[in-house]
Amino acid sequence: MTATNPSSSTRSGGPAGVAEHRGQRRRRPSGEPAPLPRGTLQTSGTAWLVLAIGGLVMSLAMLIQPTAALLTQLDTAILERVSLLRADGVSPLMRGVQAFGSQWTIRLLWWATMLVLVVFRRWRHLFVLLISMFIFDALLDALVVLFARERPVSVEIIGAWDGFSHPSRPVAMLAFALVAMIYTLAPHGTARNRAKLAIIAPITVLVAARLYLAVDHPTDIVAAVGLGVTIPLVAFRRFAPDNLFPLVNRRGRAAHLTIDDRRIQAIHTALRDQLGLRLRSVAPFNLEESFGSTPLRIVLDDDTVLFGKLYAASHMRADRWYKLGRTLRYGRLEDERPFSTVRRLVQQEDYMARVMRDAGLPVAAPHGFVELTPEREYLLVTDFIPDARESGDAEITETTIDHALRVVRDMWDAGLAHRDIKPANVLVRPDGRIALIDVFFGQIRPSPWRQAVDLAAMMIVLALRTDAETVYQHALRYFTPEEIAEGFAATSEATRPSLHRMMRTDGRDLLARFRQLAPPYPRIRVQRWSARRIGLTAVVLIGGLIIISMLVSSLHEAGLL
Amino acid sequence: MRRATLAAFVAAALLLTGCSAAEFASGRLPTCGEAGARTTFLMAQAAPDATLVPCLAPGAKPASWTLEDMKIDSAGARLAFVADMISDQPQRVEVLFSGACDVSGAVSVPSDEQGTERFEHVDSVEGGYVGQRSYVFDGGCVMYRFTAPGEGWSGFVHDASTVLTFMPRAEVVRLRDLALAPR
Repeated sequence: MTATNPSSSTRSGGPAGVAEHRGQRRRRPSGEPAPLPRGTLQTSGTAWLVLAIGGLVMSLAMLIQPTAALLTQLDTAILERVSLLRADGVSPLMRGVQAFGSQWTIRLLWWATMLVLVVFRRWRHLFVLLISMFIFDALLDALVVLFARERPVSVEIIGAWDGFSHPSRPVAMLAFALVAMIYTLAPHGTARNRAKLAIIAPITVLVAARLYLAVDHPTDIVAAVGLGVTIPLVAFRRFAPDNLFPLVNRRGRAAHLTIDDRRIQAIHTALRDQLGLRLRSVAPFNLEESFGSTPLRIVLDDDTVLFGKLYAASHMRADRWYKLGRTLRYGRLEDERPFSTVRRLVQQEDYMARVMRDAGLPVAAPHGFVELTPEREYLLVTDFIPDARESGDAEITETTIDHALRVVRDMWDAGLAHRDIKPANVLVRPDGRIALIDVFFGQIRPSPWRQAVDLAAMMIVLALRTDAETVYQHALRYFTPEEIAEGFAATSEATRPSLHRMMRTDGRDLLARFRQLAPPYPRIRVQRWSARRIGLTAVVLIGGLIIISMLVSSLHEAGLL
Repeated sequence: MRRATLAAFVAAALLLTGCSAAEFASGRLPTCGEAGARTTFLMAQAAPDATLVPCLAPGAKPASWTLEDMKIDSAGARLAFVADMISDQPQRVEVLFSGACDVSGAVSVPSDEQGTERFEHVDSVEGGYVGQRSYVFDGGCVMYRFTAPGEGWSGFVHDASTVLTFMPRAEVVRLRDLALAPR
């Protein structure tokens, strides 16, 4: 969890301007939509869903004899008319066009799409794609067998076909693959709108060829297009909506939420109604340094600048996976339990900021948080610290070292731990004093081990820009040699992986140097095996094997292997 | 609500993907008569000139037989049954239906199916039976491919002779028309 360059804070709170803005709050009456309502299907999605249900009703009508006969008559009439267009030179061409719906074409499209999703680490989209594909394929199998419809009868079939005809499997598979590609590869907006137009051509050509060759009935094709378009469209809009899971063509960083007009308007409404703040502008801020939230620079109508952190359910899930990974790799590491809701996650950060502020610690003054979408998206608001720099980029003077170590001592005395001390979370102000940000991981009454790790982490952060000897000498003003030794005995790559990466880049083995300076102290074991860890590891391994075998089996059933 | 929907989405995927195409298809076996009319008609479309269409005698399929695969396309039809699938030596018969088949090397024997010529080709009788039986008739051919290891192979082949039979094409078309006719 890292935000960036937000604000400093004082015990008394934020700028006077913020207080002046309050007083225009408004309670949202029961039944009134939240500032950012869920509704992700959009009009076209709903229209396709209605069309698909209509198509399903039409298909079900085929199970009743009078309507089946009627629909077959209608199909026959259309196919007879189409057959009048047959010409010697055109038929081979149409047989070639059938390849658009061949298993090899579909395989190529699928595997290309999945490869891109893996390369760009769009795991959510990949997950939705696989699950919706399995449902789609099984549904298609079930419908084909349920209707067990013969191929056209009254017109000579002059092309290749496979199995029962309703719904048309090749058309459905092609439509599904192309629509899935649009929602996983083409970013929302112009690119996607163009892609939507572009896929009409191959689907239309395949449909025309299959009608010309009389391998499908027209109603088979209508049902296939309905299914092939609706299932991926609804799945992606429902479970990977663009506003929460935007497509970003880069690797390595979690995608941030899109700050589009709809979300800006929601932030405007939420800040006004819930905190009484009048928004002038809001924009993403220092995104490249943020992993666990979307940081924002908020400007109020009187030029007051605030810092905002947008948290969504996706951030909570990322935190859950991170903690599961840590538990499997390192063991319990003390209370690293995931948050069950995004609301609790935001409440924790807001509360910790308030506790730390009340303890006199230099944190960004909290102004509370607002709800954009209940249980799904919240905006945390704090002061913004102007002109502060991350300690990894700032000049570290003796004043800075002294103040930073004093802050750790104050945390110890107040019974608090920050638990995520790293250069990005320790800001240096122009006067050389520090400010702590990103208190999300903070803990009240932490274990002595957590407090010891905080001390060692702060000393490493400071030494990365200076040297171990200077930092050690300053530390002796606030901590005993034994306390310092305990800190470095408790610290390992498991406890602070990001700091260890920085030390490797730096080239100096600061950890070893600090251990030399401090008196001997027995190493504090981090790896702890517990019944929970063993159980979790077993569940993950067995679950992984089951998922892989099901995946392979389903891909095989769908003809993709 | 959203989590419940997602869970339902995943559960549906798990349940549905647990069913293979063959499992779905087992509900549409080409049984002779009205019950299997839709499938036998599609098989008839797979060999448009064949005067006979293979089918399963109603109620004759032993409980130990499982449909392993069913594929019907414009080139013909293939059904595969396995008996005692969970045993060490499952016995298989493949039924291949097409417009023509190669019977060179096979021996002509008196046919037990009206309107057909029967050919037998034995590959092996050591430790079981491996061979092909072909029925040739106007416009089509049906081949049974046996792979029946173990001592009980003769019973399996006998069962196959009882289960697998034919319907005249005209009857297949009549039943299909009957199925579509308004009632």
